[in-house]
Amino acid sequence: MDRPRLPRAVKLLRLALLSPLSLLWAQPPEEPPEPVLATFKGTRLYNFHTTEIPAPKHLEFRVAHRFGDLRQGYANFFGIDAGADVRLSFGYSVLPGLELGIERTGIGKWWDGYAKIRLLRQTAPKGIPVSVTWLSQAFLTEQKDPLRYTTFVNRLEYLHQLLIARKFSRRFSALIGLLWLHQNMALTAQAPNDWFWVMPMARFKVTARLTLIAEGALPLQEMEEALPTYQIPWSAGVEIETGGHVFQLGLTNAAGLSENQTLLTTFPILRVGFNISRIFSFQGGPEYVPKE
Amino acid sequence: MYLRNRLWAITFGALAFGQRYVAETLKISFYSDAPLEKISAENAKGCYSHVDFGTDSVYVRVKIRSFSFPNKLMEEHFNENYMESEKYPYAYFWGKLVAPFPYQAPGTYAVSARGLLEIHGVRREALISGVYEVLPEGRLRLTGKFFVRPADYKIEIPRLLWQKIAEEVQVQFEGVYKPT
Repeated sequence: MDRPRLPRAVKLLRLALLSPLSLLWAQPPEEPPEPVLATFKGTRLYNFHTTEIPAPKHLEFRVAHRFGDLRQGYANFFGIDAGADVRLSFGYSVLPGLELGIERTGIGKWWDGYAKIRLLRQTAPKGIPVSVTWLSQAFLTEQKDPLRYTTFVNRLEYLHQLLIARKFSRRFSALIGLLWLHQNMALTAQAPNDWFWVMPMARFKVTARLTLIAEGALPLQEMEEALPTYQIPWSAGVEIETGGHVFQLGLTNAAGLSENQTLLTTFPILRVGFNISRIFSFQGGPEYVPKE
Repeated sequence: MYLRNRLWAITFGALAFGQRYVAETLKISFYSDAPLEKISAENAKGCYSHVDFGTDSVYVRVKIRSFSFPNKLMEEHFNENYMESEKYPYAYFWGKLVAPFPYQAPGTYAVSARGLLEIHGVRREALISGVYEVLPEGRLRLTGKFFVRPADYKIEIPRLLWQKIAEEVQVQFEGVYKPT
């Protein structure tokens, strides 16, 4: 221990202060429960949304990259030679607990807009046990596929999510989501227009700045009949925080990049990728300046 | 807890009468001036303090979660990564007044207290100085500032962020105390 040696007077003082008597001597009022902070570091874990919503008047700018198939090995430099698929996202919290966002995904030329609403916020030390967020998303593709997309309405898909999360400890948070995807144009003649999933998600914080993350989406209906090559989408990775940025490095089996494509992964691929998120504050307010 | 509070209030309330002053308002703010970034935050809601002139003792308790930053992400990082406020929810100061304190005579005086400052679970010796003014109705206004080195309190700053967080952070306080 490299503790400084304290003078005798201070030692005595410390002894006096640490005695039960002085503990009673200090009697500030008890504090009410407060909302927990940072159940997850980001508004997305890797491919999917968490319960987090930026603070009011804060803008999140997010770029997601996914490289090519890792399994081709060195020949393709583990997928990196294939170049990256990119998704850009902007999300702005207009009110406390209400975020509006717009996104563009390269794969499939999808535009989407979403509204994310906080319904409940977990409090500590007691009170509300979970955080609950609702998310509704509308997707529109620009793909010109005359066979599949005969009308404008055909090109629309909707995804609704109910997300329930709990921060169990400083390190461990888990989430369970219920997802409902509606496709105006079904994938195949046998495929339904509505799909449902239950989505588990977890994070484990290793150090203040390094977190392990994993997520998956388990279908609630028979998939093989409509999509014989269906794969349960999953991803796992690490989250690294450097001041204003959050980096998420991960591995996923999803070929698509927007949620509606990721959920309906139908061919085997393994790809590395990363997300970068940056948050800007438009809150303003009086900046505290020290007095001389 | 309530009963214990009551018992103490009854037992020592009378003893401390007229000598214990409790902060009616207390605002603690800090300012970090590093080459790449200036960071400031203010805490007006989460501070509790009292001064007991019977024993010349000072007590301050500051709730870390109550520091408010203009950038809420910064506020989250402050709590999660630097102060670890779930583990160490408060900062404390227990001190003794260095010199007698003429708290009833009108005027403006310099004052210091020596004792222990606990931040991020690390307790260190500290001398905190300020100025107080005796206001009408027996109230006292206390102001001052001091410097805290995050490294002294085992608050780790990654090498990448050295340019963004000052080695010494300036802390300011301003409060009005009233007799109980």
